[in-house]
Formats: sequence, C-alpha cells, structure tokens
Amino acid sequence: MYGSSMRFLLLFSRQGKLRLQKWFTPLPERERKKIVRDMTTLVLARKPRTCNFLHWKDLKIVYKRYASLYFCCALEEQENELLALEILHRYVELLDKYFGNVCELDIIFNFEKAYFILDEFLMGGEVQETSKQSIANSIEASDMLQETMEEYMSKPAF
Amino acid sequence: MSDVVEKTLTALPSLLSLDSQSGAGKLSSTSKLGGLIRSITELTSKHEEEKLINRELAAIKEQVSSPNTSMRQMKEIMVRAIYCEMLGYEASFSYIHAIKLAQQGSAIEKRVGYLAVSLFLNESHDLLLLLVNTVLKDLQSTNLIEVCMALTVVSQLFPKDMIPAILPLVEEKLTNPKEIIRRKAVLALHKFYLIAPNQVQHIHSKFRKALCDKDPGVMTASLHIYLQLIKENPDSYKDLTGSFVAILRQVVGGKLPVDFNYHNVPAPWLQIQLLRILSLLGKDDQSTSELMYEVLDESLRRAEMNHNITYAILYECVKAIYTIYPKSELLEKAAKCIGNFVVSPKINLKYLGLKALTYVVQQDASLALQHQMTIIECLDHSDSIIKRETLEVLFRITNVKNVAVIVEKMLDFLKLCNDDYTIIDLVGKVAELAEKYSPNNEWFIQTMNVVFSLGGELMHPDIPNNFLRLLAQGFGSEEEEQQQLRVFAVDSYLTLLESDTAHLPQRFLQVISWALGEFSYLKDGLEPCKVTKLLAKLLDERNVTSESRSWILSAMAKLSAGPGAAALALQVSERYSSSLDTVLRQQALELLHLSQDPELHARVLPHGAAWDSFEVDSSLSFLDSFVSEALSQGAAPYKAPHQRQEELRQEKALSLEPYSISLPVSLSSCSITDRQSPTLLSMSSSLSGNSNELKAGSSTLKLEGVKRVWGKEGYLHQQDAVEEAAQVEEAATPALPLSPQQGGAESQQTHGDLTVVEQEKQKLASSLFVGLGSQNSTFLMGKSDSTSQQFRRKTRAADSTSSGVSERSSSSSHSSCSDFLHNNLLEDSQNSLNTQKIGVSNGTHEGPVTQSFQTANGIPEEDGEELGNPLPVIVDSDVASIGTETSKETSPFLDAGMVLVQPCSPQTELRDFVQPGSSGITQTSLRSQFPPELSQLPHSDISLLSSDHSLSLSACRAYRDDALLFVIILSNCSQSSTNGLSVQLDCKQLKVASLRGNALENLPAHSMSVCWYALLMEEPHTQVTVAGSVSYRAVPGHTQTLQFTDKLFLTDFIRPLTLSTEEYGKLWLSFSQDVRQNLKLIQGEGDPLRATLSALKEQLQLHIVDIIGSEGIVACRLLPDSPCLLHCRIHGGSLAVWLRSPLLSLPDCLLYYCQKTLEEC
Repeated sequence: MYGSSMRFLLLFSRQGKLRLQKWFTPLPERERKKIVRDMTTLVLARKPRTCNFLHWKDLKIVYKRYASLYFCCALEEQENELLALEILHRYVELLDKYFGNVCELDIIFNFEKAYFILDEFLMGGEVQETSKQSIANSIEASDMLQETMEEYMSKPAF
Repeated sequence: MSDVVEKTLTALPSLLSLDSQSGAGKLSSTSKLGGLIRSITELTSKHEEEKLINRELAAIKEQVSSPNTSMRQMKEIMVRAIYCEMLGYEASFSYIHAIKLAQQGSAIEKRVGYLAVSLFLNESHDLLLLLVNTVLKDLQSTNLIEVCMALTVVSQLFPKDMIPAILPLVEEKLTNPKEIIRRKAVLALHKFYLIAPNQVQHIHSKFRKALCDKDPGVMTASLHIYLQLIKENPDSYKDLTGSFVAILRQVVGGKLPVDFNYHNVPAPWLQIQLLRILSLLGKDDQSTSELMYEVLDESLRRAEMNHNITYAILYECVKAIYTIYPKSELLEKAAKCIGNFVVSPKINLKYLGLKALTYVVQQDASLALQHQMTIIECLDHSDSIIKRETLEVLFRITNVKNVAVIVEKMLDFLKLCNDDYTIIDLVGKVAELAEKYSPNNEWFIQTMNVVFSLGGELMHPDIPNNFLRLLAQGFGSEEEEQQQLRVFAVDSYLTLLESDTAHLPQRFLQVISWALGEFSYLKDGLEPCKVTKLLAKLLDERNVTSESRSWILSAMAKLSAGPGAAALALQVSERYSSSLDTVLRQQALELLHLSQDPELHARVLPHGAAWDSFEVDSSLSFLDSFVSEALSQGAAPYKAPHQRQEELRQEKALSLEPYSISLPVSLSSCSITDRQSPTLLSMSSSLSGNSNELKAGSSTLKLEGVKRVWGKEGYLHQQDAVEEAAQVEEAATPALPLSPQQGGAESQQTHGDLTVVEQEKQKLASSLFVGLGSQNSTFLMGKSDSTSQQFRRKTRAADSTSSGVSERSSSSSHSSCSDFLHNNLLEDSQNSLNTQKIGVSNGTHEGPVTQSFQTANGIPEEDGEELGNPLPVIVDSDVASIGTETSKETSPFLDAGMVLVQPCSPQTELRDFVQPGSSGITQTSLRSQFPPELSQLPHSDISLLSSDHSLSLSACRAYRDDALLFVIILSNCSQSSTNGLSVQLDCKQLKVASLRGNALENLPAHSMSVCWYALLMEEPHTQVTVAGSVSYRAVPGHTQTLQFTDKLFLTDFIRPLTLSTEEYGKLWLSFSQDVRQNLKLIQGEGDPLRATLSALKEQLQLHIVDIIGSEGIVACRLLPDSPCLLHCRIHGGSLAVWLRSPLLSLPDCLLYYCQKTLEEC
C-alpha cells in the first residue's frame, strides 16, 4: 500500500446505497465491498452534531452530508482533515456547477458524468485542478465531442 | 460558461437525443439505464432486485457478445454494466468489452471505455495488459482529449511491469505546449514514482523543470513528487528551500492569478503542500529553518479566521512551526493559534485543535495546562472521536504523578469500546504507561489485569511477554519490593481463578499460569496443592486452548514437588498422556516423571534460583556423543527444517510457498520466561506463531471478582498526594502564565461557590495536569523522551536473552529520566547525586538505586560473552544452510556489538582536530583510534556528525561480514573532562543488534573514545535514517544532550553470498516471486556482460556465481541472512535481470542501486 493522500472516495445515500466509488489504491474486490459496508454503517450511525471525522483502522475517515447524499473519503493519519472536507466541498461545487443545483437523482442517472468530473479534479488521489472554471472547460471540451464529432474532427489538432 | 451549463442541463437526458440520432429506432440508452434505475427503486425486496439485475446482466451479456452491437451501443451497455457492478453484482464478462471499447471506440466512447476499465479492473488484473497498446496509441494521438484520457487512466491504474513501455511517451509530455497535458503527465509520473521508484530514477532533472514551469498548475503538480522525494531524503533537496520559500511568499502575497483562489483564499492546496515540504526540510536543521521563519510568520498573520480552508492552512502552519527548528516567538504565536482551535465551538476545529495539541504538548506540556478545562470537558464529550483524541493528548502528558487518573480514564474508554483497532492501540498505550510510571506494585498488577482482560487475544504479544519478563527479573530495586510485586500477582491471580474463569482470555490464562507456577511458593502458607488444584480445574475448562493447556501443564510441573500435588499430577498426566496433541502429551509425561522423582525435580526446576544462574546449552552439546553414535550406525545427518522443506519442494513441480527461514525467528522470539525448561522452546515459538489469532468476542469481557484496589480508594489516596504536589508546584512557579480558564477557575475557587460538578472537574484537572507546571518555559528537549522510549522497546525486542539490567529498572530509570528533565529546576540537587553515581539520572520515588543496576550498566562486557551464546548458533546453522562460508570465523555476534570504550592517551595532537567542523580532522588520526578488530575491517570515510562546545561526534561505517558496524567516535574537545557519557541509537527500520550502547565512562579532556553498534536490516529499505543522542555532563549535575542523525543505505547491508551453481539452482527454485528489469549494459572493451557484472560486484558487494555464455548468475544477501538471487542475461542492447528473494521488496531496492551504479559508470 503506497501513499497517495486520499485512499478512496465514496458517495452513498442515506439508505446506504452506493452512488459512486473511486479507489486510489489497488484493493481486491472483496476488500472494497467490505470497506463500503463498513463505511456506510459507520457514517450512517453517527449522531447529529458530532464531528465530521472518524477513525477506521489506521485511516482517517472524513465525511459530509449534502442533502440526501453522504460524501466520504479516507486519508492517512497525518493528512489534514479540514482540507479533505474542502476537497469534498469543492467536488460538490463542481457537480453543482455542471448539473445546476445538483441533487442525488442527477448523480444516479448521470453517474458517469460525476466520474468524469472527479477525474478532472483529482488524479491518483491528489488534487489536480482546483479552479472551477478550468474543470468546467475541460469537461465541456469532452462533452462537445458528443455532439459535433464530425465537425470537431475536421478541425486542426487542439 | 453559463450557457454551457445550461446546455448540459437541458441535455440532461442528453444521451436521448444522441441515440435518436443513431436512428436504430430502438429504445434510447438513457431510458434503458433510466428504466433500470427506476424499476430498481420501485422494488421492495433484495430478492426482487437480485432477480431483476440477473435478468439485466443476462441481457447485457447477450448484447455484448453479439457481433452486431455497435460501439455506440456498447457504450451505453457499459454504463449499465458499471451500474450493476456498483450495486454489488459481478459483471466480469463485460471487462474484456470495456477494454475493447477503449480500444476501438471514438473519443466519446473511448472515455466510457476507459472509465469502465478503471472501475472494473484492479492494478494486478491480467486483462490490463491488453490495455497497454491502447494507451500507447492514445498517448501519441494528436487529439488533446485522447491524450488526457490516456494520462488519466495511466495514473488510475497501470500494470507496474509495463511502465517502461510508456514512460518515454509520458516524459515527452512534460514539454507539451498545453499546460493541462504537462500537469497530468507530472501527476502520472508521481504515480509511477510511488509504485515503482526505480523506474523514474533517471528523470529527476525533468522534475526540476516541472517545478520551474511557468504555469502554476504544473508547478503545483510537481510538488506532489517533491514532497515524496523530500520525505525520503530531505538532505538532497535543502538547496531548494529558498525557492519553496519564495513561492510560498508569492502565493501568500496574492501574486497568483485569481483562478487559483478558493473562496478568496489564494491557492490553499498549494500553500499547504509548500508548508509540508518546508517542515520536512527544516526538521532538525537550524540554518534551513532560519530561512523560513519569516514566511511562516507571514502565513500565520495573513490567514484570517473566517473559513474552514484558512483553518486548514493555519493548522498546517502550526504543524510546520513545531516541526522545524524552534523559534520561541513563532512558537508563541502558533500556540495561541492552537488555543483558538481548542476553544472553538465548532466541533471539527476542536478536534483538529486536540490533534495539534498531541504533538505540541510533547514540546511544551504547559500548553496542556492552559487548556485543562477544555480537555476535561472533551473527556466527557458525547462524541467518542473527540474523547479518543483527548486521551491521546493525555497519553502524551502522563507522568508519575498523574498516571493513575489518566490510565483510569483510558480504561473507562476501553470498556465501552468495541473497535478492535482502537482496543489494540489503547491497550498498548495503557501497558506502556503502567510500565513506565507505575506508582506502586499493587496498582501495576491490577492495571495489568484489566489490560489483559480487555486486550484479550487482540493485544500485541509483546505486552504479556514484557510483563512476564518484568515479573521474572524485577525492576532492580530492593529484593523485598520485587517479592512484594510477585506476591501481589499471585494473590490476585488466585482470587481470579477461584471465581469464574470462563471469561478470561487465553493470553491472560497463560500469564496467570506462568506466574503461579513460578512464584506461588513466595506466598506464606499457600499449599502448592491448592494452586495445583486450581490449575487442574482450569485445565479441564472446555474453552481453554491447547496452547494455554501447555502453559498450565508446565506450571503444574513446577509445582508438582509439594506434598499432595503428586497425586493430582499423576491424575492429570494420565489423562493427557493420551492426548492427540503431541506437545501436551510430552508435557504430561514430563509432569509424571517430575512429580515422582523429587530429586530430579529439584535439579531441573529449583525454587527461586536466580534467573541468571541458568545456563541454557542451546547448542545441545551434551547430545554430541549420542549423535556421533547414531551417525556411526548409519543414521542420516540432521537437516534443519527449512532444508528438509527445500528438498521436499524440489520433488514437487511448483513451490507455492515463499521461502522461509523459520529457525532464527522462533529462537529469537523465545523469551527469558521459558528459561527453566529447554523443552519449552518449541512451545514459545508456537506461542509467537499463534499470537495473531484474533478473537472478537473477548473484547467485551469484563473482569469480575477482582478487587479494584486501585479504583476509588487507591485513586483518592493518590489524588491527595497529587493535589499537594500541585500546590507546591504552583507556589514554586508563580511566573506561570495563567490561561483565562485557569484564572477564572481559580477565582471561582476562592469565592467558594462552586457547584459540585465544577468542583469535581477542578479536582480532576488538578490530578490530570499535575507535574506539568514546572516546565512553563519552552521545553525543547521533549523529543528525546520519545526516542529513548523507542530505543528501550527496541532493545527489549532484540534482546532475547535479556541483559543484566532488569526491565523494571530500565523502565523506572527511564521514567525518572524524563522526570528529571521535567523537574530539573526543582530537583536538581537531588538528581545530580544520583546521576553522578550511575550515569543515568535515576531519582526514582521508589527508593535508592541498587547495586545490581549499577553493575548492569557499568560492566557490559561480562554479560556480552554470555549473552552472545545463543545467537551465533543461529547464524551458523542458518548461513551454512544457504551455502556461505562466512559464518566460520564469525566472532560471537553480539559480543562485538557491545560498546567498548577506549579512552586514548595521545592528548596533545587531539586538540586541534576535534574542534567542531574544523578541517583539521584527518581521517588517519581518527582512524588511528580504532581498536585492532575494527581497523582490519573495510570501512567508509569518517564524517563529522554533530558537535557542540565540548563534544564532537564523528561516525563511519565498518563492513563486517555478519553486520554493519556503525562506529561512533566521541571526542572531548573541551578543557575539562566529561562524565556520565551515554550514547543512544535509534532506528525503527533496523535491528540494533548491540545489546545496549550506553554507559560509557568518563572522557578526560582532549581525548577520544570509540564505540560501535552492530546493525542489521531485516526489512529492506533503500535508505534509512538513524538518529541518536549522546548525553553527558561537562559540569556536575548538568546533563547535556547532543543529537545526531546519519543515513545508511541498503548497500551498506549487502554482502556477497558465496555458493555453488547447484546451490544457487536449488535456492532459486525455492523462491517463487520474480522481479524483472532491464539494466544498462556497460559497453567497453571485452565482454559487456562480464564488465557490467563486475562493476556491480565492485560497487554493491555481489558475488558472481557463474557466467555461462550470455547469461550470468549473481547472488548476495541482505544482513543478517536474506538471500537475493539475480539471473542476468543479455537481451538486445540491455541486460535483462530477474531477481528472486524471500523478501518481496528486496529486489526492488537492490535494483534501484544496480541502476544507480550502472548510470554512474
């Protein structure tokens, strides 16, 4: 296990349904399933007005609830929990900017888009780009492919 | 931009339009996925969902395998497959199609293909190899988006072995005109560096270029790599400190484009990354730290307390300030800042404040004093996470005076805790505190009882082992005290056994039976047969494991001599002599014989004999005649277990198990507690083998029937004393700055109208924070506390035969040592008396220092001989088995690891070269100080480690066959002599084979002495840092410490492994894991293979076993005894190398140096 600053990121609903999962370190399938189970039970069991952090094995879990969705990520012990909260927050802002007043349904029905946005924001567990504008630009560029493929292909290289 | 969002919004069911374009007239993909999602949400049971998904998967399966499915349809099928996998259903049949989609689809389809691959596959999945070509193609694409996709997938998952294939292309992207490509390429390289550091060794110069990139985004990305590099080796990057400081200054000053702002804070991620790098660079380095004081100050000042992100920066800033070389002005500001965190009503901030306190209090415990009321409130916080973090703070401020209260709080928490990980951690901490600061024997035994009950099978096996060793050897104080401890233990265990034992964890039962077997005779009026009866009862319990039974039986064997016990022993041994468990059967028979033959019993298991009077002949030489007789009658010679295994393996076609050398592990893990019967050796090794067994149920067990003597009454008694002490201290330090809370609390106290709750809190506070007051000045020596503690643990683990210093004495001396540091203002005179006597300040509250402790510390050589015995045997058998001849003339191993101090006479010439840093230090003059056994060894240059006005330390590495000797040369360059010199060395990653390295005697003015440690690297690391300290007294009563660090490399621990081609072949087959790598060939005159191999041999101490045609086999070993085999072959223009080793990470580490060597050639 090597150290990228974030180990995994999960999105799940209040009912414990997984909506998105991103693993930044290689883990066998069984381990992943166990982690998802552990995370949903741990986080959903938290009482209101407790802090947004948890210990799990040797990792720090940072989670935050936005409407009906929980955003939850795992960090190494020495990482900065507040910063991780802001990473989650920025991701929500990015989703919001893309979907416009994002809600859980947007993410359920367009989860692949949520993944694409995440890939522009985080890479290998590290923050790659923090500017909302730049991320929107690159997502837009990729999305454009879909509609004007032919037109685009005739253009000179980007 | 808003129109883009709008467009995507209106196109939210966007794919709908896309599919209508496809015009196939079938249902659109969204409605298919949407339909699936909708029908799932309508379902009521898990069973229905399963049925639906299975139907869906069957449909998908059919579609993907149909040749008529277009890539566009495939894309929407993949999305559905991803969805099914997310719900927890397996769709492995679609993996290959995901790869196909990434390969053949147009850009937009490719994107889904790549996404599916990165979600479906693991880094080690075989199918991933099929992706390599696609990635290669896309990396060379002229389409920006395709390149981006390829880089993204590469940093998400890529087979490690295939990195060389794409590395040149990724490198090339570092010069791409588009910054987004450069940034992604840098991050991809970062990922490569993490998974295979040796692959990107050669492009360090390109990282520097990325750091200087004109785009701040690329520069930020490169910092991820630098953070990693600097973490591993801060010294090589000190020259960049100025640049990092300059960047941070610009960022803090708002010089970056607003694009990088986050909630009006300039590039917070970049700031934090820089702060982390700076703290690594400034650690233990005054001159580097000085460069950054100003910018850190500015960061603190600029960050306004208004947003989470600024708190995050502040936290990192405070952390940096406390990590680098301290500056009091900054520390003060940082402490104030932490204060704001701790008192914040926001719970997240409070948590982070507590987290910061855990390391801040190590340097300045008075900060905890300022926040005592908050800490007390947090102890009762409804959120257990906050509670846990508070305990962590308390753990760091524990001392002899508050240990009882803090341990009680920790145990209270433990009783309610049901998380295994937390239990293991906390139980270990409680045990550590109890050993270190125990106020009295009774408390110690009771606390350890709770530890064993709560920790159960989860806790670290060291805890019971250390406890037993402590019980066995005592703590070097008076014999009476020691006996009292044992009697307490016996008493409390008898009480436990008389009540219900079903809930006691196995480990605890083992501790109990050993202690009863060994010490129950100490209790007056206790019939051995009473104890035997209790043990027999325990033996019959159903839930007792056979491992515990074996402990119980050996306890009974010890007790079987007494009247009445024999009959019972007979009964028991009859029952177990037919046991299926061979160990139990053997022990039952031993019990039978011992109980019937009192004479034999008295000889084998004498009562209360001093532990050091036993000589264990672990070479079993008394069997020599028996063996030679058997051999002469044609018996096969003995083969060690692993040798037999190896032979067995060769008969099999495939060896699936990693090669393991089991013998040394089991021998070294057998602790002193087994000393009384050599036959127990096997048992103790099985104990360590089983120690990982976890039993979940045991965590909830409660200890019933234990007198909680240390509970309320004991605690109250303790508290009285403690409060008194607190008052004394407060009086003694009137200058103590009072925090608002504390001041407030005090005034309340004087008014006398406290509520009961408040009073209790106040009481708790005074008992928790006692002993911290005397060090309100910034406490910079705090770090030495933790290092010496680690060192102590280390020696204990390494020290299988145990030294003359009893465990207890070392722990109490340690505690008092830190105590001394804490209280030096008040107790100076008292301590100085003691320190003069023994070289380690030792003013325990438990009484004067005893003779045994002195001798133990003073004359290490004597034990050295004796202690050295068991280990050479291991080395011998082991090394011989892998075919080396190295062990033949090895001197007793630990013997040479001892510290020998040789003050030297020629004082006149020393005067000039021992000046710190003076160029006058000549290698030869220092070398002339080496004792003969050292000077014959090859060794590195001598370098200056550290110095102060009176002492200067130099070091060099001497390469002995069986260990690396880390030689420390101490020279006294002052006019007066120094006393009580003591050296401590610490390195977590290495095994320090020297038993203990301190207790040097006095060093006259202008003289030198040499000492050395024998080091072994059991786990491969490319390099490790050793840190240590020398404490000494130049002025009587005033102990000074000189810290030093040095680096050791893997190559220091590599020795040639001499073996024949046949032996090599056998060994090769016994390992299964291969690592393959292409290396550069040295092209010169003559055979390039020979040239390359001999270059490696020269530089890395490898042994060339054989060279046949274009292939060569090479072998080496990592000290102590881990072989690594290299099989080299010329392939194309390079040298293909396969490596095998029982240590999985050794090949990688070794490759790193092979590459480095060949690059330099």
